[in-house]
Amino acid sequence: MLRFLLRRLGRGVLTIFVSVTLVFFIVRAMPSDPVALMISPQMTEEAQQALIQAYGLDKPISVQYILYMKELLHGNLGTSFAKRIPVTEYLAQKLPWTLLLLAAVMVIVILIGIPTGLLAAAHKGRLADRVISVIVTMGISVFIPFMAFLLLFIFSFRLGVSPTGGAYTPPKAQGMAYYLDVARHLVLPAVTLSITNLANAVLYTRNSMIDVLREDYIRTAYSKGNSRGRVLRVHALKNALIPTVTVIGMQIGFMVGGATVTETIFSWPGVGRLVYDSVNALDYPSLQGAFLLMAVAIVVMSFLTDIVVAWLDPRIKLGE
Amino acid sequence: MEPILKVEGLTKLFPVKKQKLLEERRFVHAVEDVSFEVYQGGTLGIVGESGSGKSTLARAILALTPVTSGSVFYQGEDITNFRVGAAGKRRLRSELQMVFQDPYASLNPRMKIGEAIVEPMLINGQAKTRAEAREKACHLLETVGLRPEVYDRFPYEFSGGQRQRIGIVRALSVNPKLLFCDESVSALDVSVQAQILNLFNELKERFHLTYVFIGHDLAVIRYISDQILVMYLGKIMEIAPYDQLFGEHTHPYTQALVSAVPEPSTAGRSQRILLEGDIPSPVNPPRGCRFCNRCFQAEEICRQEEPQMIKTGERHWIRCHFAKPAH
Repeated sequence: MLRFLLRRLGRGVLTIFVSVTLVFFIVRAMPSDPVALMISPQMTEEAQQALIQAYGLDKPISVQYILYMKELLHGNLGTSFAKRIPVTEYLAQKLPWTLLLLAAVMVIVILIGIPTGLLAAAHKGRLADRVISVIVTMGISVFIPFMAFLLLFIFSFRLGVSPTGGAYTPPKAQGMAYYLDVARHLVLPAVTLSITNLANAVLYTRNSMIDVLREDYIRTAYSKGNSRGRVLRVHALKNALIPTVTVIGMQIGFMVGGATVTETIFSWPGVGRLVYDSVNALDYPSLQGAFLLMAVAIVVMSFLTDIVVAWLDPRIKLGE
Repeated sequence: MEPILKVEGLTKLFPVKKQKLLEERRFVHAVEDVSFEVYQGGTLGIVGESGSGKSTLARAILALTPVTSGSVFYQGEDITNFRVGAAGKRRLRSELQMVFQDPYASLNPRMKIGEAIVEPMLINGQAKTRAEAREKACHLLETVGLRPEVYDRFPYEFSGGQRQRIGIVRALSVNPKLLFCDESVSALDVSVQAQILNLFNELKERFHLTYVFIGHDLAVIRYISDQILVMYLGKIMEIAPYDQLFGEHTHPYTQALVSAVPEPSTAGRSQRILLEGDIPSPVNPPRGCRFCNRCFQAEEICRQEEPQMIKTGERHWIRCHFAKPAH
């Protein structure tokens, strides 16, 4: 077990290092100059030079890289060009909103996706399964920004039942009213983001359920006198959930990095929106911070997924 | 004496998926018009090639797949498809049990050995509490030669022979009267096969069991059975007492099977009968006798007319135009 932990830790650190390095150079390959955006022509020559030096932009890229890595080891992600605050602080402001959105999406995916996949598998080839399969195919192929605008058009513009954007209505309300307000704002982005994830969860659950239901031990379960419901829920589902858990785990890791398009359309103040704003402002440190966050989240989630899968399947032994 | 199990005209057809919209619906004739009886304390062996319908027959009797037509009687009561109400079903699910073919695939990999054994006892009411069930399970594990410590372990930790013992304990846990063994030793090494077969014989005495033993290996079937049923392409070709199956007057198909049994002797072996061709498609079984296109005795009548079961002796029936009826 210790060997497994050490090996995964080593691999995780390597993954993060490679990703940080790639992001560092890709960001700087953007065909624009952040200095031009930060500095207004009214500034004096000395003030301009002082600013450029303060951000280290006068040094060659290789030196900038070494400095950045050195600071990173001390936990310093640098200072945002656009907001003039530490990147860690900037990310800390945005991350909770993305996590809230993520949690809402996962609740929808788990509570609706798994039972729907189970239902489809139990009625394989019959009407319920066909209807679900058609909807799932639509869910996987739909263009998410289009879906986002369609939902906005129907629920916010036509019906007026949902706010058009943001996470709450300013000024911030107090107590329960505030939570309700946030929940109202959460619905549309969460539904939009759930579509693809939900369709994937249904598809994986259905397909692996169908595979498991062909197994010999399912016949054994029936011959023991189990009811059909118990066979499906106890004997089949536990075995069938393994691929679904893997997919959901990886999706969570990916989504911590924010859903740039959806968050931008709904003006949701999360990490995805931060990525969008940072690209517009050529805010290198914030972009690097956001991608570092995503890399860490993916490494951590794939580790947790492995542990959950090993718990679900006793044949898998960690570290062998 | 009334038979413990009686099967009458049992037929199981599987629909074939249509290729074209206007195609006529076609069926795989897995089991067709099968009738036989099993008496208390006896062992019926069922032999046949792969695809002859042996396993389907057992599953249809145990209502693990719905019967197309025909009836199954257990102790005189019609139990076709287990349409007998909830209490009756619970009783049947414990009195009729099955030990499956593949000991690797037939145990749920996520379930501990103990849970798998205890589950049917709790469902069917052989034990009131988990503790009582556990005690019984441990006792049974010892009976088949496993240590009770295996209770808390997972199936992947065991060898094929051990798993098959676990499968047997699972089946025995609900006090069955009639035990179906569907190729229960085929997946095991020969030395382990012998151990398990001896175990089956021991358990039969100890728990007063009646067996229906399915296999493709005549040597194994002969060892354990007292009545043997030979199936080919979904139909019964012969029903014979075990000692007459290796005699003179048997079905040509049985003769071919018998000649294929390896003999542990250095003397020149009797002539082998080699069957030509493959078993025909069960979607389109041959007209006339099912076996006509591979039979070394086939004549014109065999291709035109299907033979009936002819009684050729005490508890001996043959489906062949050339069988000699008993006087």
